[in-house]
Amino acid sequence: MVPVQHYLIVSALLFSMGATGVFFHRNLLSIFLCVELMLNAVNLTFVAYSRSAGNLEGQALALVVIVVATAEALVGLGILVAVHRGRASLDVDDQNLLRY
Amino acid sequence: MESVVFYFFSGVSIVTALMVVASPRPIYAVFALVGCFVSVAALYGVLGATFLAAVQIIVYAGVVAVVFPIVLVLLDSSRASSSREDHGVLRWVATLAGLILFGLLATAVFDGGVTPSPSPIEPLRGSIVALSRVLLNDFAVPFLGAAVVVFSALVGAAWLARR
Amino acid sequence: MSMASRLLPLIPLIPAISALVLTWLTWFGGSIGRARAGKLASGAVGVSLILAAIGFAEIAGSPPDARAVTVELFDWISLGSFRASAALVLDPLASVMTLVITGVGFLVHVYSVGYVQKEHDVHRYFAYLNLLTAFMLLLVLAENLLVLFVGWEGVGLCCYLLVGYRCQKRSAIDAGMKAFVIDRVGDVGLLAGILMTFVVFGTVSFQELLPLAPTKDTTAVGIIGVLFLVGAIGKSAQIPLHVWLLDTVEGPPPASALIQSATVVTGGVYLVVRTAALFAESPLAFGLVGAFGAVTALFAAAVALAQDDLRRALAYSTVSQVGYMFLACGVGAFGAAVFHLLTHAFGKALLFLCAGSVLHAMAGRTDVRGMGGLKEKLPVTYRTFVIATLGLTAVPPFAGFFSGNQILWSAFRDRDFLMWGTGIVVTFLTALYMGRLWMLVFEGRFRGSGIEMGPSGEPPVTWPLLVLAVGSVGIGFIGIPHYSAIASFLADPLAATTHEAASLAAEGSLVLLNVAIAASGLLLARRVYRGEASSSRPAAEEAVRPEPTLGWLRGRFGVDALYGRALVRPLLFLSRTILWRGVDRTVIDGGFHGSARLIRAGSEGLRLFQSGNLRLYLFVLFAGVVAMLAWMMLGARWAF
Repeated sequence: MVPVQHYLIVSALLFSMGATGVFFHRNLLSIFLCVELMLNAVNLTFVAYSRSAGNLEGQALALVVIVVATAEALVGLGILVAVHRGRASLDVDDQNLLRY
Repeated sequence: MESVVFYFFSGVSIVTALMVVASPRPIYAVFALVGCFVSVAALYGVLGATFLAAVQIIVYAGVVAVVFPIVLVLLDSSRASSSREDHGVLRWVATLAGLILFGLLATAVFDGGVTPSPSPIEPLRGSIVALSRVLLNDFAVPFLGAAVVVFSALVGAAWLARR
Repeated sequence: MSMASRLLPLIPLIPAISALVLTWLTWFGGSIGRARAGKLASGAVGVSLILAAIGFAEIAGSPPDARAVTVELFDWISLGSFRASAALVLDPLASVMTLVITGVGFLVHVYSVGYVQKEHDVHRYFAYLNLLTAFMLLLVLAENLLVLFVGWEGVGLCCYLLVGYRCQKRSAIDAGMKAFVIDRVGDVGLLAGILMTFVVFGTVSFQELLPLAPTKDTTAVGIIGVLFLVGAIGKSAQIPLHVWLLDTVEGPPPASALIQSATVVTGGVYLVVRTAALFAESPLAFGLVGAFGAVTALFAAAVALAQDDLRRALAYSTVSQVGYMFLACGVGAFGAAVFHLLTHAFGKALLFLCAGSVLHAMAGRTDVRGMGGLKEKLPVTYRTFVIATLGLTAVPPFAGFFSGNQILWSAFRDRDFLMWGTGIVVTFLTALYMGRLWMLVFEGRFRGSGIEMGPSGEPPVTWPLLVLAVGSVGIGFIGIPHYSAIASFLADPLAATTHEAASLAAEGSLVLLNVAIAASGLLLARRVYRGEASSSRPAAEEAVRPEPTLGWLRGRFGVDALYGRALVRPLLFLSRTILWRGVDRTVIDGGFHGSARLIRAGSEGLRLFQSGNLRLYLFVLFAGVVAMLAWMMLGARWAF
């Protein structure tokens, strides 16, 4: 029997790596992928807790998260396309419209 | 038996996640992420969430594996390099912050008293029937909300990408 | 009483209306006639003068208890428990001040008519001058702190307008800005003081709060006093906020005359005297007033010695003399302070108008080293300048003698020997620098180069100079010791108490000492500079004497050179190098510039927050979340 904590550690590791990865990449698409990684790690946490609590609520929530994350990924890609159309660059440092 | 599967797939997922973070080209990162998703799906299976594992592979990994490369190819990101120099300071600081975060989370894990359920995996527990019973009764509102979100995302994405 | 109360609001109102008319004329009048603008302006102030005199007569004729005429114009602010009405009050103090302001102001206006003929924007100048007079009158006639504040701010504004009048000149604009901004720094103190007054006393009306002063907590009253002092330091150009006054010389000299003699710089002194009851309650505030006054008087007098620009030397002189007035307040001689204000107003206004004459003749050159021998070319100016100098340096029977004496005597009989000693040194230095100016500008031979001295060269209107000169002489007699009409008129609270405690002999010998000191200062200046006034360079001031022995051997110059080296040169070194360059420029000016640079550097640093760098923004978010998480977890573990 693998104790639940192990799953949680794996999930924590994946989450931290995703969070760090956001700042590693300059390409917008890669940053987006790391965000998806973080969402995935959260899902793993939910499912692990669902197993340890003995009911299915965690799994249900994980399902909803998957659905919403997919939708968000698609919209995000749409935004990416629009940004590229405006600036011909996918580099995050070029997105400086928030400058003073 | 469960332990072997767990350790193997968790190892794969961690390694692929590392590849996602560290790969220089987005297309490599995409493939690594797909690998990560698949191994996490296996972990779901080990935990008894069989339906969820299937959904993860079909929907999640499917989206990532298909749509992202399409966008990549469409947008021709080979020219995507900004004129700004990258000092690399941010990477180090971010790594530090990530490590701190992991430390905090791990501490939280071991401080919380979670006891695993002693019973072995019941095959029917993660089945569609059982899950849908929970989903459509207790979680009806979030379920419908998710449907609304998907719809609005569809409309939004279509509008965003129009010419 | 009714006539005064009906006429009282007109005193500040008439110059204000005149200013408005002149402003309208600036835009639409075109060539209405410059002389007419000047006459309108002067006439307005003249009418105010007459009204002020009527008010004074009525006040003076009333018994001492009933010497206040209050006029409430309208209920201005009424918010909950805070009530402030727009009200004016004419009491002895206000009456004296209004007479000085309108009197000196009138003369300055008339003099200006002849002086500014060549300026093309004459209406604007007179509008500003009138406005300054109007606001200053409002300030001194105020019945409560809020009305005073309106006048105070208005005066600051007019300073900016007048100093920057020649708005084509970059240096004039900068000087005007400097005057306004530094004055503002002091205003923060005044405003804080007004707010605190309301908190402590529940009212801002003078008539209501001043009698309550002894009943309130001493610390609170002391803090109010200190805050008012900050405001006074800004307005009256005391150290360290004196730097703006020196640059006011960029404006037309008659404007400088008005600013430095009767209006702006006297505002701070007026505030302290008006709220004397507050200061009397707190030894700390009292001591600070005296300290600032003494330090300023001493410092400015020393630096005045090292100035080669005539107007700047006079400006430092004003700073010093106003410091002297604060010193007087610091020893409790409020009546003497006002008296000195009076005598100084006449003297300084006269000096500045004379400076205007000199400038006019010298085609704008102000360096005294390039002057000399002007006493033949500018006879009226010369004579009135001498009278003003004698007045300022406390030589009897001129006005400054009586007022300066009063201050020194008050210090001495209160056993405040530090203040008294400071006063003595200031008297000496005043005599020295004024004597130097006298010698270098008017005596000897003309040392300038390249200027053709035209005929007479005096401005067409010189009778204001004469009137001021008479004032410089005569005004002193209202303050003869033991018969001091002005002290009793002002109901100086401390004048009556200690009169009998001192002996006549002590007082008399002190008077002689003062006269001796002043005279020695003048004579020393005459000795040292007379020879130099004839030579092509003031040799006594040169840092390097190429042939000292030769100078020593030169017969009649021998003793003068000795005086020069032994006394004047070290003093000049102290003044010029240490105090002027060292303290004034480096420390005080550097302090202002340094704080400006600090603020700019801080802004540059803060600008990074707006860089638009997405990764930075995201990272700050991330780091913040991690920090919060850490805080919560550490708190839970170690149970903070």
